Amino acid sequence: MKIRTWWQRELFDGGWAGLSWPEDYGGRGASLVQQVIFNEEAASLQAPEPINVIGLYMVGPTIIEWGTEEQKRRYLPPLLAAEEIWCQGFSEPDAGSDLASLRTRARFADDHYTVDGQKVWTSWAHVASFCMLLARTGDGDTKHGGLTVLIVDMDQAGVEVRPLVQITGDAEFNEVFFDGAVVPAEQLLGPEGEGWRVALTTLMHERGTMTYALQVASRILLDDLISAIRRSGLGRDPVTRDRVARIQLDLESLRLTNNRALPRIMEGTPGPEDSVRKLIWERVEQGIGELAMEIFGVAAQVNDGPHSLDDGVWPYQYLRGRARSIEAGTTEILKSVIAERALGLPRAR
Amino acid sequence: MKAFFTEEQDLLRATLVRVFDDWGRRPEGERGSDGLFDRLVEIGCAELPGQPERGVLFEEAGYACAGGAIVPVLGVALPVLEDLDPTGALCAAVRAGTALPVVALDRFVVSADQATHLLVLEGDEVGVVERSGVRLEPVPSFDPGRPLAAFEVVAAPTIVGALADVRSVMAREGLLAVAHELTGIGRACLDVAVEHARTRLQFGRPIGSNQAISHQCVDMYIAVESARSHVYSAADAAERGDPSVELAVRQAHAVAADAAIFCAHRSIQVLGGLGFTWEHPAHRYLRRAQSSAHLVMDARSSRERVATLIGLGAGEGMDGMEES
Repeated sequence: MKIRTWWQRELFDGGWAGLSWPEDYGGRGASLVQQVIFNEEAASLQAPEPINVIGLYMVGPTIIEWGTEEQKRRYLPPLLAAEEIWCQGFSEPDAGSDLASLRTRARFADDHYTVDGQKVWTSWAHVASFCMLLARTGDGDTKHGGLTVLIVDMDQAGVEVRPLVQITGDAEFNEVFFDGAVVPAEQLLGPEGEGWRVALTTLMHERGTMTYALQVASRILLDDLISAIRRSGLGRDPVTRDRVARIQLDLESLRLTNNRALPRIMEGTPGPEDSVRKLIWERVEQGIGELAMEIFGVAAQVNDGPHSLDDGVWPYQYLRGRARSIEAGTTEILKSVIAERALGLPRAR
Repeated sequence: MKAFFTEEQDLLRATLVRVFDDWGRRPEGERGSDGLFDRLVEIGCAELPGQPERGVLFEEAGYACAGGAIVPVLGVALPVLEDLDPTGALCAAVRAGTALPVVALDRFVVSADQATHLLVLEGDEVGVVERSGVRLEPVPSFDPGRPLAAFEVVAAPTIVGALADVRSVMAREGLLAVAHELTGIGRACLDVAVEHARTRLQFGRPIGSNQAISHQCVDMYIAVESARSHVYSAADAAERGDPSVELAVRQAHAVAADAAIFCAHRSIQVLGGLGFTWEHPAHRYLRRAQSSAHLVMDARSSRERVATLIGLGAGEGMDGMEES
């Protein structure tokens, strides 16, 4: 946490955070190509991940696309500086893959919305200043209608955050309870009732542009695995070599498909075909952890301490990997989206 | 970042699609591979200067599953000759469409039905011998469009260069051509599966509305998109003379080989019984996927070389084709 916050502040002070964001809002107005070059350099230097990932990769692009001028000026610079951490309130206990069936309600009266309901799997909510919340404001003709995105202050009596311990033992995500939480009218993001379209911007960035940053962490990890394999003496084992090469091929598929998509992404919001890269990424992340557990055996089952291998990174990676095919749209949901929207196959029943 | 293909290159692709399409429409008995090759020479395909144009030709040949000799002659043998004997008569004859040489360093010669010259082993060198200087014995083989023959050299070959140099060109240019063909094969298998899944009705609805079918199509799509990313990028690296070209080509080959074979398998599954008939072209793609994947070397050796190049150090030396 500390090192990731420090790193993002360093990046911001040096003008490297939000490289491709507009200069008026604390960015540097660089092209996405330049951002990608920066990412690859960061990978080669084994740089840490910035802390405010939800803000940088999901909230930020959504505010840039839908926010008012005042909102952009108010929220984007502190987001980039990691002075204000963001979380994203989408999923609910009864609205996971079927996100649009969510029930958290926001009622408008006087000059503000009042929010009641519950969100879950809310990463970083325990440290966040703001939540980008998807809530129901109207009845709408369809379940996608009547949804609205609000910017909610997390520091108020009507918001309660309860950390959820994950299978890694960490508590990065949370349950968030809204009980009469107050949201001033000017914290409406995008038009009221158009929340589904606003949320789609977020989801498409989560699946389509986040992979540009994520490939960096995967590259660093695979290089670490290669070093560990060399040290273990397994570097000459043909089976191990083939397994490593296959992960390398997937990781390069991710990097090169990212690059190939750039000209299109630079012209607008990512589309359903861009979710392919999220699917490749989850395979890479899981592949690295699974291979480490398989070849290092019991040595990789020491979680930390002097007897552990590489400070316990492998059991962590292995366990964390299980979430890769669930978070940001499950494998199954993304495949159905791609089948329908990119391949033109009929809707599943 | 530039788009991968210019307008002229897109135009070349469109022209090739038309040429292959016309050829494909002919009744099977009249298709004769010779006619197709002549037509390609006529529109300048034997004289394409380099990447990405050549890649476009090989990818579309793969997509059409057409002209079994195109990749062996123009993709594998021609770059070897261009490298070792660029001003030689044989190079010129290939560009004019009057000679179709193939490399025959191992047990069999491919596209023996059309080959006019063979590049054969002579000690640790490689020499050219005309078809008349070789005793050919056709063998029943897996890909009828790219038939194999056993051979025995009976005339003295004309030496063109060292074996190591030939292997090195093959591992770069030849493998890149193969990777393009494999990518085209994968694309074709994906398209036919998606079309069938969209239109074939069972239980009163298109079979593609079942996730068990549609998700297989997405798996094929992921494989094809990955192969395209690798292959276009490797072609770009080759054209720029990038020092990482060997790794790029090996990766492209390994990914495209797996993608083509995977998609050929999945398309037959999605097509059901139809895909298992001789009449349906699905099995031709499966056959071409296998013959192409192994034309220069297999995907396993490419992965082995990748392992070395990404920092695992030298392996047990199963792959004799790496550059030293």
